[in-house]
Amino acid sequence: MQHANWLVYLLEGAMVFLVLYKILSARAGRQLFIRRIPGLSAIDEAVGRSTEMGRPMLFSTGLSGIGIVALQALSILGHIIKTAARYRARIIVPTAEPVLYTVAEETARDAYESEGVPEAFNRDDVRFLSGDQFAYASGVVGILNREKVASAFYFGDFFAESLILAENGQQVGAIQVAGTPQIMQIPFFIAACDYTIIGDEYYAASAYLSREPTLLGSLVGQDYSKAIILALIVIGVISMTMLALTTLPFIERVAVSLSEALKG
Amino acid sequence: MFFVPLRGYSLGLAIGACVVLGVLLLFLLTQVPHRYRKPIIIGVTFLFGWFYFLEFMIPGDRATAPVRGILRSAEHKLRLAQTDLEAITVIKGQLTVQYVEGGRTVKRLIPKDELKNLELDKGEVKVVHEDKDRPRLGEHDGVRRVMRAREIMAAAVADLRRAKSEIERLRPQVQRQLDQESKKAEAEAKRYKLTKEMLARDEQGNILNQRTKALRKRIDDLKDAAQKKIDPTIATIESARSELGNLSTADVESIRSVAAAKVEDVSLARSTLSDNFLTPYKETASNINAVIGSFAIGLGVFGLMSLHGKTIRRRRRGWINSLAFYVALFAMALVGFLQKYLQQKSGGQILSDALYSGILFNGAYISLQATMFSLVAFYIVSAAYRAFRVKSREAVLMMGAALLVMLGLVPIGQWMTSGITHVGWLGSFRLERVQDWIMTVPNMAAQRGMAFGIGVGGLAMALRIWLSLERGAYFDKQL
Repeated sequence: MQHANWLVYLLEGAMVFLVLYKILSARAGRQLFIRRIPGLSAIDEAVGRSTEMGRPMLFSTGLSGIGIVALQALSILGHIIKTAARYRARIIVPTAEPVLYTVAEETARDAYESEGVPEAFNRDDVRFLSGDQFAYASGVVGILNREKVASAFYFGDFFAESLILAENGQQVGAIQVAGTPQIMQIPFFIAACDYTIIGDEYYAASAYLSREPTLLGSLVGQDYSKAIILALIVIGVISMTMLALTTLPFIERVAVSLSEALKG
Repeated sequence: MFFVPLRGYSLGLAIGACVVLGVLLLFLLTQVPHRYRKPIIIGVTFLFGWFYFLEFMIPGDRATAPVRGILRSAEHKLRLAQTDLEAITVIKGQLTVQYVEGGRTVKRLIPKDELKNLELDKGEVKVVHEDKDRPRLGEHDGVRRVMRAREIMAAAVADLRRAKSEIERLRPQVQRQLDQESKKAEAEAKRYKLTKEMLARDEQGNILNQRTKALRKRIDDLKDAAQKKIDPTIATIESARSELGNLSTADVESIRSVAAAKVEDVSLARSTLSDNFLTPYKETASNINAVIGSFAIGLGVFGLMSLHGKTIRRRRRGWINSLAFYVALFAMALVGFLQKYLQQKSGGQILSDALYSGILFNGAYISLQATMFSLVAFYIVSAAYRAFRVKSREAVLMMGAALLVMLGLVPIGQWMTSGITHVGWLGSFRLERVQDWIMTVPNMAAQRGMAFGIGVGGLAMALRIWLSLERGAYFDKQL
């Protein structure tokens, strides 16, 4: 079983410190800048379109089980539902995992209640379809086509079914916004969706939409952590390059120790 | 505490009792006031998070710390030896080959890598003579590196021997601890009136308490580390050392890969001995997660049945599909249960296989899955046709790269550049090599960059959830 070594203690400690420090400094009132993310700015546009057309929206969490990916998706779902609740727009949330289904139902109910329209919440709109990948995909495709959704949101873990969902959404004429931490699926979403959230913009979504100081501070802390990783990469590249060119024992020990520490 | 494995009616009664208890617990949870649900969930999340965080961070048991320290030292030395060997250039041995071209016999000297391509080009090729690979010792201080690699390997072997003797010293101590715990377990077994037959039925050791299981695992890990990892590593490294003794004939390349493999073996041996006092309970924590998840499956199926039931009752559009859901659900469940029952009857195995595997699973389920998956191929074409438009410089670059990658992967693309020689820098312009370079260098760099960002984002989000700092739809109250 892999456990932490000295480099992990150091790195984790530094990253946790940075994130917490920036959260505290944001809470103390410091203004933090976040750049525009077109995909997230388009969410309001998509909700508006759906309201005008009188057609429902669809929010798919993909094959996510309950975890940080799904919880981030639910944060985004909550924001969308709050926006939709103001205009009495309907949103359908199919899930592929039973635990997530219960949590999504709570999230949807809370979001409608927070906007003062608890009666607008329809329990049947949050559904558990199937845990199987393609059974879930065919279920979502069926919803897209039967309900003729005007806007589709794909946030969560997607795999081979990503293109099936996105293409069907395209065929019914829905405006589509997608975001996933699955790197291999991003090209498919880029090809088939109108807006795509790439890489760590997915985890920045909740901060972007809510502008909550805690989340903005965490985002800045993440950026500093990425700077640390970048510095490690540069040190590694320089040491391995010098190792290939020279026979200095000091360089060898640095390179080998670094690779050993990183591999654990 | 003991969990006694049951059989027959006792098992059925126990399952029934657990189901009733589970339903009761579920009912009680639904009655929990809404304002207390999130604190309960967040509290449980926090506790579980602490468990996994501490289990990862706390170093291994102190008893095995000396062994791990010695193995770390051996691993470090093997890596240094591997680094030295990797710096040595290997001159590949050449082949003298003979083949027939244009009616006459041609004899040539070619590099070993070229043999397959020559066979593809010319057909039957006979190898007349083969030169051995040899290290280019004059380059990058090759001789000194080889000598140093030998010394470092000797030091690594000495460390591994020390680790083994430390393990041999530790095993009796752990065995004594295990004997003491086993006596306690026996006393408990008598108290709970467990028979020898019950204990014999317990194949996975579920009756034993966690401490006894952990000690048994430690003894097994120590034995495996010594016999399956350390001993073979010592033998292999000694043999590699003696081969390196003759510089002119040493197969440096194979010794390099052997050293790399042995580094991984020693690292694995070290990690199996890294369990701390929380590690034995990881399985219990996973089982708790699984049980909680299994409650939710019931909720999910109930939700589906409720939705489709309403559709059928109200005869809404598409109610036939909802009926199909019920038929499929009950058919699969019934056949699944029958399968276990029929297997015990004579001829039942064939019938159950035909029903479950033949008709329902392979016939229906797998076929439907394959159908859905096959749609992806058509959707890729339609998405690419729609999306790949050359509107900007970046789009031109992307289209060019996509074209090169696609051509490099298909035979016609490889045929287009088949006239370019494989050897030397010109060979890099062959389409399959260009494709390989695009996929392994710039593409992989971009993917890894994104993966770092996603990883750090995930860490920050996990930290926020764990410390109840997360804000958003589901986490709107600070606790």
